Amino acid sequence: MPKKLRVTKYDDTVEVLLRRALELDVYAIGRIMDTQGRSMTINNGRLEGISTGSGMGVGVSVFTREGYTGFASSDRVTPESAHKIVETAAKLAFSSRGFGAEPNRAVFEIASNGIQTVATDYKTLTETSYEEQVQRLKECNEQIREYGTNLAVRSSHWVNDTHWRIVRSDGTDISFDLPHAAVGANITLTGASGTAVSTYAAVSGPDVSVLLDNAYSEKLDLRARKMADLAQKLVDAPRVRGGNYKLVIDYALAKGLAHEAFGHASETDGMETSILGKDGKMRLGEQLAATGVTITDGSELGDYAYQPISANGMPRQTVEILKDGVLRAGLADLFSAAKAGVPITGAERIESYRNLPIPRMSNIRISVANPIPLATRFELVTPLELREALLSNGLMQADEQVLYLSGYKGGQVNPKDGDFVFNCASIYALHELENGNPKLYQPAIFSGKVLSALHSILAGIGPVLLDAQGHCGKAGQSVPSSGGANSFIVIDRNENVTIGGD
Amino acid sequence: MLPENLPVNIPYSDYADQLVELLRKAEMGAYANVPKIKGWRFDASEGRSVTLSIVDNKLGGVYGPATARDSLGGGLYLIWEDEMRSLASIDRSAIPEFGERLAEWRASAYSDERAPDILEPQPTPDIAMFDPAIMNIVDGDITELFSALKQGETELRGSGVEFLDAGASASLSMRYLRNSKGIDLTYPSTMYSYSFYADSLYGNGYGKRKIPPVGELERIIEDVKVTTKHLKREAEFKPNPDGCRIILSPGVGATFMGSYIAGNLAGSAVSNRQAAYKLEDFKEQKQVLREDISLFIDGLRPFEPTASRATGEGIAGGQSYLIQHGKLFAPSLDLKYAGITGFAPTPGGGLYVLVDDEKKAFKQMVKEMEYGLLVYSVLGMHTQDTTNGRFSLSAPRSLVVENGEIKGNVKATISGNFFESIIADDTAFSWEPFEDSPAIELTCSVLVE
Repeated sequence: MPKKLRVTKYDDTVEVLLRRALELDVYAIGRIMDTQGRSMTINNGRLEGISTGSGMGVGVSVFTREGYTGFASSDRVTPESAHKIVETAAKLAFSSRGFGAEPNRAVFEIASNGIQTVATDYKTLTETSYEEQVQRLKECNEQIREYGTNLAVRSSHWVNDTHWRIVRSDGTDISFDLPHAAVGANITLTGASGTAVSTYAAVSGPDVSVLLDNAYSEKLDLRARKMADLAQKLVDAPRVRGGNYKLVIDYALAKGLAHEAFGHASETDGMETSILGKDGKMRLGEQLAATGVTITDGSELGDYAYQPISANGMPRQTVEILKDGVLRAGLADLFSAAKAGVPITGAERIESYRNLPIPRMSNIRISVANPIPLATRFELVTPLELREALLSNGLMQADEQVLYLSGYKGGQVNPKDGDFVFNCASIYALHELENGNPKLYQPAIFSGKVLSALHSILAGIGPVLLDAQGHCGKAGQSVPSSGGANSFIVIDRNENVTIGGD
Repeated sequence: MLPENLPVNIPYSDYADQLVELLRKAEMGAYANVPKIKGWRFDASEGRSVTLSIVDNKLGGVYGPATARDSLGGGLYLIWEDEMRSLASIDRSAIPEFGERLAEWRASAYSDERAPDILEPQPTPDIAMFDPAIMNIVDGDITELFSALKQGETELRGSGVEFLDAGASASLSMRYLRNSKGIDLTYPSTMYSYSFYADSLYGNGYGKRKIPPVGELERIIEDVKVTTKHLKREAEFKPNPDGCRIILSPGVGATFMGSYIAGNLAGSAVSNRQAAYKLEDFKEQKQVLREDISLFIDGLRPFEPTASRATGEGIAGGQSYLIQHGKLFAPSLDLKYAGITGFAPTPGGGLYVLVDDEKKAFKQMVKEMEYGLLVYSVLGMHTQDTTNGRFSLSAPRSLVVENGEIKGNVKATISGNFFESIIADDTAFSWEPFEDSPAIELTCSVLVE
């Protein structure tokens, strides 16, 4: 049964907010947030702390008839506060005309999205037992510490249940919830030489099930075991020689490629300077990646980055940004879609009621047509098995230098010049066998040009996996992000894609 | 208690007083559904901020409009009569919903035999952190923010900058730090900032607790203008396979020191074997940097963003070494880990690098460079494993320097081990007058993209 959303109790505030906007002859978009969260940490078997949090607030963007805009917010969700912040935002909007600000009238051209409630039925925090969470997290921590000698393990778990209500002067009034949760383990090993190595394993989902359900626990256990093993091997691993290589990246790194290297460039607020734009319009119809490569962004129920409704009250659509290598659409908000020459897709997200909505990704994934089947579960695929899959499918010659980059550790991009960078947890030289297995190297930065990398995709291996989780920090706002790809993606050697190193 | 001689229109609510009253009632057992509390502390801030931005050349547009934000928030720590502890964030609703919140805090209470007690009041330094000249701006007169952005826009666009992003903001906040043993600290602070970022290549800005001095805006604009021009010029660089000399600009140098050195001084990580430095290393005062380098906590610099009268736990702001003459002196410790490790808790403040007898100017260091790179930005620092010192980073804004002359930009990747670099004899430091951190010249592997 769908949960009851806490934001439904603010009818009086909504009424005053919209009425005051009408009186001042401005269009208003009001955003009410009511959030609850809980987090806990176990450090080497000891409970470090449990932290609870809740917060609420209201933000309002107003637009004069000419399209000048102002924004005000308050942590008081009351009719009096709504009255005041609409006045403040209107004052700022009217005064910005005198500053020569650029108007935008797009908000007057959209139709109402009506009155809706989009509530999930995931567990609320009041239905979630502290004792059960602490007990299970302790067990996870103990178990991971047994995967090696002298491992230091910090296990973290957090659950967040945020409810939103977006109202507009056109009658739109939509309430929805954005639940998300995760469990992670930071594993550190100090080798005999005194050199320390840290690795990280995590799973994510909508609620406490990430910690308590067997399917998630099993996945976390497999990932943590692999990372504990890796930490022990990385202590004495050498550095790879820097340069340009044929690469195999796992689906978490491919999510990084899709997100950092391509997704940000497809957000329409930056189209005037994006590499996917020309004279402010998206380069629709252009072949920007290898044939067979499709990049899709869409909200998935139960996913860490679930977002069914935008921060401006528009339904979020699943968008095939790139279809068979051809640019088809952008991640567009109502303010920049028309200018970029694409339809509105409801891509606006915000971290808090205090922030301004901007187009963002939710769950972005790369899929490659006709992937090579892979029977082994992703977590159990070894570098040697991957090497054999490449060799048997003609994707690697026995004497060809190929690096396998495993485990995503984050990245950065400049969508204006197409430069991307991200890091992995480990590198295996598939062409260099040591004791019968591909040789392990330390992680190194993977950087390059977006379009070069996408043009160089040769193949996908295994099913599409979507649960690579992270956070995106665009414009200083942190929101959950996720995505994935085929289990592995093969990228041809390219002089514009570089592995850092000696 | 509110400090004297404050402007009459300063925002100040009775939030803290009300919360203290409710907590005192909980101490007396006024809430039958939960045990009594025997100790508490909270640290809350109430404030207002105003901002104005330029996004892709558009001043005050839909992605960077004039904004005004009011907020109140903070953290609470409780000790119950059965020694259980609670940690929670607090907001304005904690007053009207106190009964329900107290029940929730109790439900989340946990046992931690190493958790700290409530701190006795200690004298806190009186540091200048409030500039009344910022009050008018925060009250809604954003003309000054507009003027600063407009001047930057006119001059930078006029100098050939194609796309400009910029922002200006002013804020005022009242801090309320209270605990059950008598800490009662209330004071205002202000912040004023602006920044300019040209063609996604280079940015610089001002950010302190007071209105900038005359000439500061012009200095920042000139720096952005000149450096952006250098970065727009392409150059060639032939890396030496045995290693190249690079200068990390003050901002990049601070990022390295913060991530690789300060990041490994966190008490929790040190105590739990999750840092490069072990607790025994501090007890033995192990040499980890060169003798001429120290890391120093300083919360007493007037009007600096790092100025601090006290930490959230009530530890007074002050000055203290974490690394002195290259030797590990103390980890960075809150009350809990001070108790666990036996070192004194770390005073509130920012972390600064000190280099003995090194007065060389940054510009002089560049002039003296024979052949190398001046690195203005790195991408991917947050992805590095800082516990072992290894780095592998993209450096897309790297100016080639040949015989002291700047030739132009190359995109490079740099890699090495910062722990080894920072103790090397040929690693050098220099200072830019307006920066708190030194530029660092070192040798590492370079690959040109």
